[in-house]
Amino acid sequence: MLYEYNRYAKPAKPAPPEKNWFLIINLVLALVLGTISLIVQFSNKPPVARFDEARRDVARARQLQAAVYAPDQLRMAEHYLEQSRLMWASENQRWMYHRNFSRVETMAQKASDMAEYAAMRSVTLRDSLRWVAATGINLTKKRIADIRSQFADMPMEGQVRQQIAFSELAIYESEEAFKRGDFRRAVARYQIASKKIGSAGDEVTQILNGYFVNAPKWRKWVQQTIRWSAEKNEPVIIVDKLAHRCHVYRNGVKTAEFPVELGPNWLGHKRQRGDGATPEGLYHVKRKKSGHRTAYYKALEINYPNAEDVAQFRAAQARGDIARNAGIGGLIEVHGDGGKGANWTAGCVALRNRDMDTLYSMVGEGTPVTIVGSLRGISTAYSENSAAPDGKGQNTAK
Amino acid sequence: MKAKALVTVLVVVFAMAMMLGCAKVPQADLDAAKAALDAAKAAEVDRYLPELFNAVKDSLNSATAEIEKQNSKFALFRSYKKVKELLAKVTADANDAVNQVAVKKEEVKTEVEGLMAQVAPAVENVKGLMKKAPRGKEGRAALEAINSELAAVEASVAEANTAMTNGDFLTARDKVQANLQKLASLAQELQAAIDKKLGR
Repeated sequence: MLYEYNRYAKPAKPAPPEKNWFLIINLVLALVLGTISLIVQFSNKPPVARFDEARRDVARARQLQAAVYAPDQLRMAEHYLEQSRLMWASENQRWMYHRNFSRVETMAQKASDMAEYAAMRSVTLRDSLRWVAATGINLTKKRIADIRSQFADMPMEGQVRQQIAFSELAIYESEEAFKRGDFRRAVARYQIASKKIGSAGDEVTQILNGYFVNAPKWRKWVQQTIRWSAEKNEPVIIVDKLAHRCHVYRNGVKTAEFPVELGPNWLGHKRQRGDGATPEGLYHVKRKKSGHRTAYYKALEINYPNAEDVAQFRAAQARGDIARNAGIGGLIEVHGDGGKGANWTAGCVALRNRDMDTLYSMVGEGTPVTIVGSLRGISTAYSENSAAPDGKGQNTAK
Repeated sequence: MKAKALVTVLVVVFAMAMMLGCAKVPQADLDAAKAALDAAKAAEVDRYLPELFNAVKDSLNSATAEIEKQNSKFALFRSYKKVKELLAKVTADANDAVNQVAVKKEEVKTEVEGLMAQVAPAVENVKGLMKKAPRGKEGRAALEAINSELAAVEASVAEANTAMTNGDFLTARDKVQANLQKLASLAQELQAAIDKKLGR
């Protein structure tokens, strides 16, 4: 059949174009990815490098022992770092495009700055503490050694000796802490040692100050004795208790000097029988003894107690300082059998036998014997006092 | 039909990508790492092995920084794999540090116990020498002085024991070594006095 054109007929509907789903999806995905890329591209970047640097700075401060030597600063740096992280976390909650990390960076910078300060402070403080500890240990050890050598023979309360021992123990502990690099503890222990030795030193100084109250009187006695020797051209004996020396003068000139040993409680004037103290005063040789008349090789018995001693003793008894039934004591001698290296007599003055021979031959009955606390003032007495009764003192008899 | 299948596949892939992209912070691992660090601190790792403690602490900081770094990324691109690795390492290192500090403490404790065992014989030695030392007039004061010092050492030994009981082994070690040094010097002093007496 032929195709017949009908001009009035409705034109046929064109077939709808087939949808290209593959293309559409790709376009949508491209659009989504593109948008994401743009958002990522134009969003603020997190301060990863800045934060990592701050973290490394804090770690470095820790490594440099800031936890020990700059704990407050380290804590602050760690706090800033944590704040920075929290701010970062807070920004992460926001939509990407609206994130602003400037506060995070500022806080991380603060953490870095504080960590650097902590590190620097730690190093400085550690070095400084090391120096302080080393110096303090040396000085305290020297002070302990000085006090030990200078006051070794000084009658001291057990408590004072314990203070010295505690001081030594603390300084040993300080040295141990120093060895393992704990300078803070080393300083703390040396400071305790220093305090204890200082307190022992203060007590000793107090005792010495009390002792030296009589220094003017001693000076007067010594001058008077030497003058007498010069005037009479006679020998005199002067005993310096602090220096543990016995001097012999003739015609006002020193002719001999011997080391001596005293009673264990030699510091201070003899007050009563059995106190182990050596009297101070102006005496004279009452009796010379040798052979079976003395138990100590040779002896020069002096006239203790003299009138002043008796008066002092009675006054002390009246005050109640000394018991009513106490005795004043006596039989104080300058005798031999010394050289034991200790203050061992009951209040006498002991010389080595060879020195006693010399002295015995130089003096006679009636020879003045002046016993004083010290020939020098307190300021010089102990710095120069090296005449401890170690038995090695030199006889300088001429 | 073909197109519909393709769409389905793409939607599934996209959804999976979204799910994977929205990976969660490994909170349990983070908590475990923090707890392990706290345990290390409680075990005094910071005192006995400070370098180890600092390294673990820094690793934890590094892990938390990595978490925030991942959180800053677009959800699709986040990955906490590295964070998990870091946190696992922190936990393992902290636990290892606790074990190491226990060994270290045991070493110090054994050392201090060894030193402490020397104290009693040293005290006895000093007391024995005191019996042999000159006891006459010339020795009495010196012996009294040494007795006072021995009392100081005995007080310090008690302090060392307290430190030991409290688990402060480093302080105990310092004290015991100091005591031994002091006892040695007392023994030396006494021996010198005895030798002098015997005229050696």
